[in-house]
Amino acid sequence: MIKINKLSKSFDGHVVLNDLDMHVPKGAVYGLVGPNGAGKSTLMRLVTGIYRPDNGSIKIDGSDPYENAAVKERFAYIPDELFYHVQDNTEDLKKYYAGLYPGFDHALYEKLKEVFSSIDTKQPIRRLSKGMKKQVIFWLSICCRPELMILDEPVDGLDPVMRRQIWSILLSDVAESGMTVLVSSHNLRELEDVCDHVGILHKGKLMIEHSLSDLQSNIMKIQVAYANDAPDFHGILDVLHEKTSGRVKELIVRGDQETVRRKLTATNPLFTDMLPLTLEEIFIYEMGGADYEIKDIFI
Amino acid sequence: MRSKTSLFKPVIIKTNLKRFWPVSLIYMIVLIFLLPVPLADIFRHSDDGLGIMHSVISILSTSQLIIFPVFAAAGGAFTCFFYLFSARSSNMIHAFPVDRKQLFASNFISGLILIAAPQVIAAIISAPFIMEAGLARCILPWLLTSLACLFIFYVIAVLSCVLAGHALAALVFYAFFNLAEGLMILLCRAFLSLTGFGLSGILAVGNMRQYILSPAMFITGVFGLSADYNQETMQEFARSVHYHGIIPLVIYVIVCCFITLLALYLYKKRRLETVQEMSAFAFMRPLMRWIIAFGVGTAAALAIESMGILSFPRFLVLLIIFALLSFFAVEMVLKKSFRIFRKRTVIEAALCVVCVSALFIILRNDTFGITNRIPDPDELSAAGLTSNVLIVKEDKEDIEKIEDVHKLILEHKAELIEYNSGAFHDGIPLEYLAFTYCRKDGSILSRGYYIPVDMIEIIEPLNELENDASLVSDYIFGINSDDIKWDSGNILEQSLDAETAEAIYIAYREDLEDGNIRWQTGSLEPDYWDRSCYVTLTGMVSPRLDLPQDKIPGMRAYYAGPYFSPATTWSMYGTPAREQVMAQFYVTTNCTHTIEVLKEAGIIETAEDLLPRMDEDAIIVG
Repeated sequence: MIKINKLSKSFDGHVVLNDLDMHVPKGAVYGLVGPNGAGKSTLMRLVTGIYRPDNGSIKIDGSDPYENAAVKERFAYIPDELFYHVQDNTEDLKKYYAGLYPGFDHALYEKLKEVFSSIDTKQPIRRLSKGMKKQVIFWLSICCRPELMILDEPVDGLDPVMRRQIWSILLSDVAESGMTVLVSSHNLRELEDVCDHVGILHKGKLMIEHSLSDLQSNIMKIQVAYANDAPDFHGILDVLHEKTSGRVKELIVRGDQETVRRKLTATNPLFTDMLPLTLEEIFIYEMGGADYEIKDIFI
Repeated sequence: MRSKTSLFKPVIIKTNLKRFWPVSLIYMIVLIFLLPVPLADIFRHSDDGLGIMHSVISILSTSQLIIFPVFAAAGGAFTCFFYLFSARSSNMIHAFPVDRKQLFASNFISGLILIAAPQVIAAIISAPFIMEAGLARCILPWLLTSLACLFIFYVIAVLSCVLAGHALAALVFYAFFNLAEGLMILLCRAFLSLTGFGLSGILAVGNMRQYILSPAMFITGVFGLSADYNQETMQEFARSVHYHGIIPLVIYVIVCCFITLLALYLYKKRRLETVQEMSAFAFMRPLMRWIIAFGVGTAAALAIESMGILSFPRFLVLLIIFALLSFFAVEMVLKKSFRIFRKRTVIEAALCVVCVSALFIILRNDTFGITNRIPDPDELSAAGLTSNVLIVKEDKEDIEKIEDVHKLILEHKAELIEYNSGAFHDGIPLEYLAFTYCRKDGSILSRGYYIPVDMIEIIEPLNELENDASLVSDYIFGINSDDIKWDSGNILEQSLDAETAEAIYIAYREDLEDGNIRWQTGSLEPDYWDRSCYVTLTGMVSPRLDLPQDKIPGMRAYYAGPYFSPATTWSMYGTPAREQVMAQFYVTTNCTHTIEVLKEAGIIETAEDLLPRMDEDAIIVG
């Protein structure tokens, strides 16, 4: 659905994205994660055609989104900072969206009133809580019937019930109509629940891009103990992190599960245990390898 | 995959109109108080058909109807394009399925509707009053020209929004585009008036026609509605109503159509990441640095120097300091950082200061011969010389006489330049001579010189010019003094009745004709005015409405007398009634005719009864 090739963007000489390649498959729920300042929001603004790339290309179904209303009709964008006019209520904003998106589904809007029943559609949006404002934008964006939903920190401010509710609506759309979702968030636990693809952005480059299952099967936590001294694993395995606790070694290892198991067995351990990593753990250990680790600071 | 799209999105226009209607409402209220309310008021207070016509025209031609569109246009443009100054709204709006051409056109149209609608509504509400006054043919031209003014200012406001990344910057750009040329020329003139030989009066000349690149100044100065107020019938008056400045207005509208296209082009090229920055385009930054360095540097240096006698080397040092300070200050604002002292910036700042300094060195040295310029009499519609009296001449021969005095002064430039600042030298009194030349194209050239009163070679021809009885009479009593009906006055603290006032006027005119009063500079015996008394005469006169106010230099200064501006008078009094005039003059002991009248009226017994001037001054001070 989205193909990004050699994308670069800089502001006043400061390089934010550098030769970035990325591919979001059709029907995927693609989670874009990365530390603060990695360039996620800039990437989102480039994908939505807000910014023009300095170099490289972005294609949404083969077309450049910049200055292309036809492409923009096919996606809905929910930014981290919401836009509405101070006088607008939900009904006004609905009319605005309906006037801009030819595929706006009025029936769906009425149907979803039940889901968003706590919102008074006649009340000015500025008077709604942050979470409710987000709900309004989700509601209207879903009604645009987009083929692609681009979400920048989407559920920030929503209560847990509403988060689930919204993800449930989005995922059912993904399942039913094959909608693609590109979502950037720091809430990795949540992304882990909904994403099937993940890209980790760091210093303007996409460090890792995999399906979540591949990613999780490719990085594992291993607990291993030896009768004698443990071997030097760095020569044998791609170790991201190593910790010793008595005779038990805890390793974070990257690689194919079977290969890792075979190499480990060859070292004659007393026991081995291989555990899957959460997305959050994968992020932390991968970032550690990229000089972005948790520092032990004693104050 | 590009779809064919329409020029604008109706939903954006509709939403803008719904959101920003208060802009229209405010402008509507302003217009109602400028048009229908005063128009209705005329009919309540007058039933004189011609008088009503005059008043209606005066309301339709009020300058506020051109000045308020400057603000209304900014209001319309800034509300509809305000999203450009907020990252949140700018990003979201540009992520919607609307291309920039559609966005620009939709917002442009909605802003224009917001400000044009009140103008049209105000015209519709006012139409019955204008028609009732018999001026129906004025309605459509008035509306069209008003809309044209509005359009011009609106386009400039839109361009300002497109060029700026911050609302404040857009406001500054808007003010700059409207006033730039005028302000720049004003600064250069201020400098020249302090340094150039004979250019001390240059600052006071405010001919708006010169500021064609400053639309707010040019349009408000040149464009307007006028009529021949001397017409005696309503039909003739209605026929005489016409607009002046239409051609420049049409040219402006055409140029603004191109500026609209330029604004659209720039809008399409605009980088949204520049939101909240002063300028949305990199090419604007050096321009801003240079213009502000020039403007602020010159203004600050002049402000300090104008407190004393301008010394050019000190001015140059101040200019360099302030230009550098403002250059780096702008750079800090543009970069949003104090760390701006890079090699490239410093070199650019140095270059800027060198250029600005060079400009002032050129002006100072009169490289272009500005100070030696005297216009060809054939180019002039009038020439004026002010010293003891105001001399205004329209005949070529008389204009040449004025120019001869001017030429004499230029021939003595080397001796006179030291008096340029007006400072006294060796206790010799100085006489200030102001020359004003009105060109046939409407432009004005003005020069002023301080002449020591003992410089006979200049003072004598000047005295010859000044001692023309009709000239002095015009100066004291006005050019249409024969039409004045004198009704009162006072002399030596005694009131005069109409008969005596009229008699004094006639007698004083005879004294002038007989050369009993000398209006001279320099060669007067020291006690000439000592035995004289002050006289005030008041009367009534029909205004000389045929005088085009921009053709006669010094006319504004004589508002209290018979030289007055029809527009000013009528906007103040509502109807062109007869005007009160006042003449003030000194009667000396040489004024035999006047003294005779004063004796007959029992005001004095002998000429000696005229109070010495010194004593009178002492009484006034006391």
